[in-house]
Amino acid sequence: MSIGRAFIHIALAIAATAGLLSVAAPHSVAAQPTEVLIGGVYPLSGPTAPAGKDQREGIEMALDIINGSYDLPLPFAKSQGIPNLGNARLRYIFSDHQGQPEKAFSETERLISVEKVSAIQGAYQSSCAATASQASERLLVPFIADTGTSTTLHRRGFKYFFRIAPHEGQYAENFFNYIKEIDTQRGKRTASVGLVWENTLYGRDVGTEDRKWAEKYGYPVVADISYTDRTTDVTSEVQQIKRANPRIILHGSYVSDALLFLRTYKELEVNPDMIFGHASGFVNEAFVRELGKDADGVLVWEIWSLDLAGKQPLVATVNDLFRKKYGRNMNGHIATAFTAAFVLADAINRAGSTDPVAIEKELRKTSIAGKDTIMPWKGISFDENGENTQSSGLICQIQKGEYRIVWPTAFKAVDVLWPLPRWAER
Amino acid sequence: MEEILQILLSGLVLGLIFSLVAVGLNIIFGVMDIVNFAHGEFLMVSMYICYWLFVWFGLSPLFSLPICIAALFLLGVGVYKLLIGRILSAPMLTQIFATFGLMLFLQNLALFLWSSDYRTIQDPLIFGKKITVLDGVFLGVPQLAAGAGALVITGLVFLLINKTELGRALRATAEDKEAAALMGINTDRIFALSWGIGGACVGAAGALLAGFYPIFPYVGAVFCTTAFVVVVLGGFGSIAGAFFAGIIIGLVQIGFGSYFPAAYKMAFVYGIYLLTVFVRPRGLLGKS
Repeated sequence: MSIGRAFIHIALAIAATAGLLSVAAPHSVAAQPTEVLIGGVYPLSGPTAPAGKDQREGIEMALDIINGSYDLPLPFAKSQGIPNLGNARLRYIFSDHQGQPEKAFSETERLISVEKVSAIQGAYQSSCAATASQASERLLVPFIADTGTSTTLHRRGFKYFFRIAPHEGQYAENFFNYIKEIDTQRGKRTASVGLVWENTLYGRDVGTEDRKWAEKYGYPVVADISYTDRTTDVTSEVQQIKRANPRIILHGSYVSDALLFLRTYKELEVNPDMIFGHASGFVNEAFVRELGKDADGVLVWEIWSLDLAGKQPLVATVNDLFRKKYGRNMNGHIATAFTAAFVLADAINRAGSTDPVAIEKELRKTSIAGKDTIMPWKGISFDENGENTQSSGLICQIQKGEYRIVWPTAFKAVDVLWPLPRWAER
Repeated sequence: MEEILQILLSGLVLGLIFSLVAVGLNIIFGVMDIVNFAHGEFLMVSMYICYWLFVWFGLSPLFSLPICIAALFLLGVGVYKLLIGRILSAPMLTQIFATFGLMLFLQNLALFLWSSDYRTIQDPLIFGKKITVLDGVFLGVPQLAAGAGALVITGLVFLLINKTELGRALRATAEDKEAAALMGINTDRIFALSWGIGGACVGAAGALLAGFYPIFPYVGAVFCTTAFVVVVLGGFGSIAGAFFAGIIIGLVQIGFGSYFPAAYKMAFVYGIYLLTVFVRPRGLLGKS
């Protein structure tokens, strides 16, 4: 046999084996499993590893409560494990996608076909959630997105995709609604807005949604700037913004770029009335820590804030537990990962089975009241696209290094500071 | 008018830093014909040295500069002695994988030791300060210091290579290793030195950047890609070439980025790279 033919045979053999392996083997429907396995795909190394670590710890906190016995007004707190499955323990197998969509895909396949998990939770980056959920959709296993805010995720007609958190479209609408509110309060209309976004899935969605809602609310977009993330320098981008002089700048940026932009605004004395950040880089721990006073006044869209504890005592209790375990407060990423684990536990319990298809059916019927979560939502229930129809967000302002809720009024903790002070006057 | 002046100034400063990073890369390549893919990670190591010296001893990156130069010189020599020296006669692919592997190793070591957190040195001496050049034209003090420092150090390296006995030995080895060895030059020592000097250059660049740029395990990759373009444009092995090419790339990046969609600014930079490869493969000042 020639080498060429041998090579083709080997290649085909490998392909065939891989194909066979990736066919989901029937999940054992044993009467009384001792544990239920869930796959957690997160960036546990690489540049976004801190966010992955946050979410992993959020899940571990949830598992403590679900598998242990706690006197808390949360579902599964008092009982141990999943009651309808003979108190089986919930266990997550974590896997690292390093922020790379192709790794997210292959790790999800591995978790399902090798580890035989019953559901997948992940994946921080929208681009990774997109590929990971593609793998789980094909293998008929439910995927629950805790973060991942891209609007394209729920428009693919997937049956096994669920997302508990709001998406960029809701963010953008909230922002412009808020700008209008502020305009009415001060009796002066904001003259123009500028959009700055990084050009991967997340940033592009931010740009598209901001543009759409700016138009709907009648605010002229005078600068619409996309850039490549993790750049060496943003002087040229900031020059363009300075020339257009928008009164409000809206950002879709990861953290290193967010830091560079803010510093360059200061250096080149760009003084807008307000800077808005679409979560991501602006809610990263490093943002406030590294910018210090210069971060004050910036408005960010957040999903959760410790300020909620004032209105929901449960938030304070869970945060205390978390702080006791990890030595720091919870944040938005931690809280959503925590909540998603409860949503899965709830569906598994109702299904009374570890079968992914049965779990999908129950996920679709989810109806959890807002008061049974630590989120500021009316509740959790999914539409036909797997979107949580009852989620909503918060607008926070950084004041003295803390994220304080300024909107919605029901959760408001402080008055907003508007406009931003000029750099020279800080 | 102010805008053009601002672009020129910012572009020049950025370009000078690119030059210094590229000079280090180019010395190693010129002498040994080996591309150091871990060059950016050397930059990262230097920035972390600055960071910890600042955190532990409150040392300004400006004063950490000589320490970084010395430390990265040693790192360069060490890498040569432990890794590169052993694969000199190995196929080119082995050499590429060796430095590529070193790159991955250093990145992941940094992740392991210091996590992927973004850190900044908020040195009270220079951080956040700026000078008003003209009304509406500003330059940050850390950037100014970095540009000036890069200019001085690139000049010193140029003198070292072109005006000293050691430089002559380096150039001789670069031209013909066997002949140089026959003339009594200890080529092994020269190779080690080229790694040392290359490391020292990027060590200096790291210390200068640390004054204003965020520090994280992947910071090297951000600068290293541009450094490759600078080396190609300036000409492989040419220090003066890398110097001028760095400035050109800095100006192009900021100039074009200010007037065209900013997302394409790197496209202009890579466009220059392609143009050089097609039209003048030896670069501006490289030997044919």
